[in-house]
Amino acid sequence: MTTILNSSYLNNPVTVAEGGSGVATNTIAYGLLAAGTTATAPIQNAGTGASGQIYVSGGAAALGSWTNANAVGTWQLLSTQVASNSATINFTGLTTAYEIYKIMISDVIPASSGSFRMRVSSNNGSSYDAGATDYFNSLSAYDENNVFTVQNNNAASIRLDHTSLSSTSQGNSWEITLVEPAVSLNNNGPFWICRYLDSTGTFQKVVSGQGRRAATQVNNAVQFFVGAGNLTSGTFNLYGVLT
Amino acid sequence: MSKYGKKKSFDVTTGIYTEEDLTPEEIAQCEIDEKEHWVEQEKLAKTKYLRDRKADSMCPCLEDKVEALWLLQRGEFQKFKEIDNVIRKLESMYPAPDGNI
Repeated sequence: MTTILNSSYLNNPVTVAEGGSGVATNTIAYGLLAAGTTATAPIQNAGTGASGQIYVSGGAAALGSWTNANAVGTWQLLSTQVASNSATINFTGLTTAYEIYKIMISDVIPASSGSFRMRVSSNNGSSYDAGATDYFNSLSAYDENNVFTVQNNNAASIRLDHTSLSSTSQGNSWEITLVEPAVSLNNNGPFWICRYLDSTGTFQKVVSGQGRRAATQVNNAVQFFVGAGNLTSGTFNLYGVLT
Repeated sequence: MSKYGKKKSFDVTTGIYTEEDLTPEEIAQCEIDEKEHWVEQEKLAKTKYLRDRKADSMCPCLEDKVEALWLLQRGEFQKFKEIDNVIRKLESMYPAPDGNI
């Protein structure tokens, strides 16, 4: 901004057309400067916003506005992990900063036909609970021919499918929800819906289910794996709803 | 690196990704999981086979046949041969109502 006082040739303050700003003061210290309402109108100050906020465009004919980058109640993508002949895919450090976590899993292919499973940890992933009677698990499943209901109580893991996945299939996908896993509750385990091609290579199965640790505890880490062999591929996106 | 591959982790609190070899304890757990997987698969396969063949449940050697089928599927040919001999003897003594299953 250039303001030249006592000039007989220039306006005071110097206009944009004259190479100036058109304003005598920037009005708000540290504020973000924007062009005027026309190409030659005085510059505008869009303010600073609050700490941590980001500037969002108001379009071609208005100033933008400041908004929270991580607004309470909005979904945040926290992580993307891609399995590549991996034994396990783990997410640790789950805290009460997020009320709900959602894990969107796509294109899971096991190395050999195997069941897709999950475990939880109460020590941030130092170990995952795998006792023979650690989990309750129930699900309903259906394909083109049949409907099934299954209870896998007193199990060493939570089974996320009904019958094993084909090792040649593609598009095996899960949507898994965890509500307040980092709060010590007895119902903070996962519930989910999925669709996958079963090991016969014939049936697309849809499964909805729920599972939980057979103990009231904080679950601050989760682990995904297949019952036999490893995960050839699969994309695991973790989202959280900010508390 | 074990035959099971590595463990991949992301820590939400620190934002750090890691990829590490499995510990001996974790490898042992994988082996237990694999063993349990095959036990469960066997149970599922037999249950399905028996359900599908309910109409033939009068056959005296149905369960032996299921076992034989499973052994064949697992590639355990010697055991299959042994149980197959038993089935053949049973079938010659007690033929199924429709002659086969």
